[in-house]
Amino acid sequence: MKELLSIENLYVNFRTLWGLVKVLNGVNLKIYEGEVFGLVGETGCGKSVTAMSILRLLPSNAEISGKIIFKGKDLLKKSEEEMRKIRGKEISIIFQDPMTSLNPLFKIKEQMIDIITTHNKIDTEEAYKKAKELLREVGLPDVDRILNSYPHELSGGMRQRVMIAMALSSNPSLLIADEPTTALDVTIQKQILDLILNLKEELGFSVLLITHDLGVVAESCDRVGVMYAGNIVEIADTEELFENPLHPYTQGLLSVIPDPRYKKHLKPLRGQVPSLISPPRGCRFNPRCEFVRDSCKLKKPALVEYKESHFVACHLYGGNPDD
Amino acid sequence: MIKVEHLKKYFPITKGFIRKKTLYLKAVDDVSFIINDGETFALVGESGSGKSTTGRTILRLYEPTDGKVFFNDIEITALSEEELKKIKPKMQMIYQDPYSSLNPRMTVFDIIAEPLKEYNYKNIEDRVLELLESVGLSEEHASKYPDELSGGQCQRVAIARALALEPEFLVLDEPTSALDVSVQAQVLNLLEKIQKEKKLTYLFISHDLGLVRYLSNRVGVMYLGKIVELGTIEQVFDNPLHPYTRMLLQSIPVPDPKQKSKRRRIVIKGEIPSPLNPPAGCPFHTRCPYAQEICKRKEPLLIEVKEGHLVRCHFAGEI
Ligand SMILES: Nc1ncnc2c1ncn2[C@@H]1O[C@H](COP(=O)(O)OP(=O)(O)OP(=O)(O)O)[C@@H](O)[C@H]1O
Ligand SMILES: Nc1ncnc2c1ncn2[C@@H]1O[C@H](COP(=O)(O)OP(=O)(O)OP(=O)(O)O)[C@@H](O)[C@H]1O
Ligand SMILES: [Mg+2]
Ligand SMILES: [Mg+2]
Repeated sequence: MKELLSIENLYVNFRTLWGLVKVLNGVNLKIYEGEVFGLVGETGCGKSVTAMSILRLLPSNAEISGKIIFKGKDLLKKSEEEMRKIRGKEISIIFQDPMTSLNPLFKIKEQMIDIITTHNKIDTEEAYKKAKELLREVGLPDVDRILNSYPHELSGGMRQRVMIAMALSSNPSLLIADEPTTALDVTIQKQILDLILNLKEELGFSVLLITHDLGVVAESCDRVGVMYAGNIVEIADTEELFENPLHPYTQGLLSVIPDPRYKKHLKPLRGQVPSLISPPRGCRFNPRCEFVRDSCKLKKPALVEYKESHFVACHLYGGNPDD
Repeated sequence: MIKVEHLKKYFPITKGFIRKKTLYLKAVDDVSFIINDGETFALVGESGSGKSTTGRTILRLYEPTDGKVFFNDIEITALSEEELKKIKPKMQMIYQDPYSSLNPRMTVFDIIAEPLKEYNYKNIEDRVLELLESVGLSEEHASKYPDELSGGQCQRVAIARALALEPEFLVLDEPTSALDVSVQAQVLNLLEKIQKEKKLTYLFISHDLGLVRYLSNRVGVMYLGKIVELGTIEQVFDNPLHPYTRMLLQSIPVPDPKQKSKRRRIVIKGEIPSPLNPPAGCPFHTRCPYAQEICKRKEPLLIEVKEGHLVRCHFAGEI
């Protein structure tokens, strides 16, 4: 497998009135060509900040350090001009609520032609044809009507299909999907997930799928990274992660998701997610961990390959201090 | 304990600016069910199917357009405002968003004490402390404001307030959907615990079939304002008879990667029609893989296929 993206020791802090919010605390992950990598974690753990760091779209109060190697080059070293050529062309993103990324004042037609002509050297007429083609590709019926609609005239599922069509218009090598189905009904959610996976198979791009739903992960990802309070605590192949979760947080997560197939006993994790202004020292999960020992409160565990292709950041499995 | 008979709630929607036309959005359209003492009855369905409106109309937070609701043989829908106020403490509601359902300018103590004062309770301080403890909070939380609490703690406060007047019946409208999964499990366990301790009856509203399976005894599946299938959890989940119920069950992601390739082959058809302009005949026929001519013309009735298992489909039991 060829490596497409490698995030190395990524730290992101935000300067705020209340102090420095230490959001990403040394994130490490790799995405290979043609795979679906799931990034899963609870609210506020830093999934979207990771995505926005890749695209270099963080607000100006952000301090960022580390490396984001995409196709061999560090994105954090690129000029804004160079980044503009990568965004939307080589790396595209779709969000949870397509309403926020579609302009409510313009028809779908205008927005699609605009994007298509920015990334391809073609005229408006050809771009219109391409737009129709793309909308058909994402399974929309009645494409002429859709092109002549305003975003609010479409259903949530249709808007998300339009967003996917726009994101794919430049043949990107990486599609970042940040909770692409969270705002949708379950039947529509399955349609959109299947659409992304089918297009991926057909076109061969990689997907970074961000979600808080382990069901969605099980359904669609080749590999998964579990995030907790700004750290990747575990990475493994999807089946391996569900079968042999190593990190106590991953084990906890798997024991609290209800299963529609049977009544399962839920064993809640104690406590709650920590504040990122004054996060716990050492392992950020230590106040909630039932296996906590002294070293957990002092040293941050490193992400180590405990078994082949199965990485975990926890003192129970080695995890020598890395800083 | 609760009996709902042919409940309807239509919202008038005015369309057009010059030539005004009033359409009716049939949010709840002829819904009937009963909830037995001490059980949890769930309503599931996708967004806009009428779950919340049903819950609110039962508590008369909305005036029903038609139909009757009984609470312990008292016809709620026939009560005057005054009589309603007397019975209200027995029926409470817990909402989805814990932050917006609590007054941000009141302390936790005042939030929980408010209904107690309104109904002239004595020993309010002791009672508030007792309530805080029953939801896993303590005295130190009493002086805090909602924005100083986490989502899970806020939802505990909302539960404590709902319990203040010793209700018998609670409507839980997506009580955990704003919470993280790790906290959701804490709140679910709490809801189960207080149900046992206080012998409460729940109407549990959710679009999450996993949660419904976890918490409920019986379930009604709603589509465009109507109940399309109703039965025990086992009947509906393990032997779904309505094609929509099957579609829902096939759509929810299963937390088991081994099922992945099998589930990828399932194709889900169509979108939910506008509730302002629902399809004629069976409202599900536009998405139904088994639809026949009759489904486009004639609306099926909700019929009992097996004891306690009701289905609204012309071909129930045949497909
Ligand atoms: N511009 C900002 N200034 C200050 N803090 C920020 C800013 N953007 C994000 N944060 C904080 O960074 C943390 C991580 O946020 P992020 O949006 O990445 O979470 P997430 O994992 O995507 O969560 P969700 O599942 O809710 O989308 C949060 O605690 C958030 O409050
Ligand atoms: N006050 C109101 N005025 C007009 N229409 C309403 C009102 N409340 C609800 N509706 C409409 O009634 C229908 C049913 O809404 P309801 O909130 O009961 O659905 P729900 O099943 O609870 O959905 P969700 O899962 O999104 O909460 C929807 O089409 C909604 O737009
Ligand atoms: Mg996010
Ligand atoms: Mg609702």
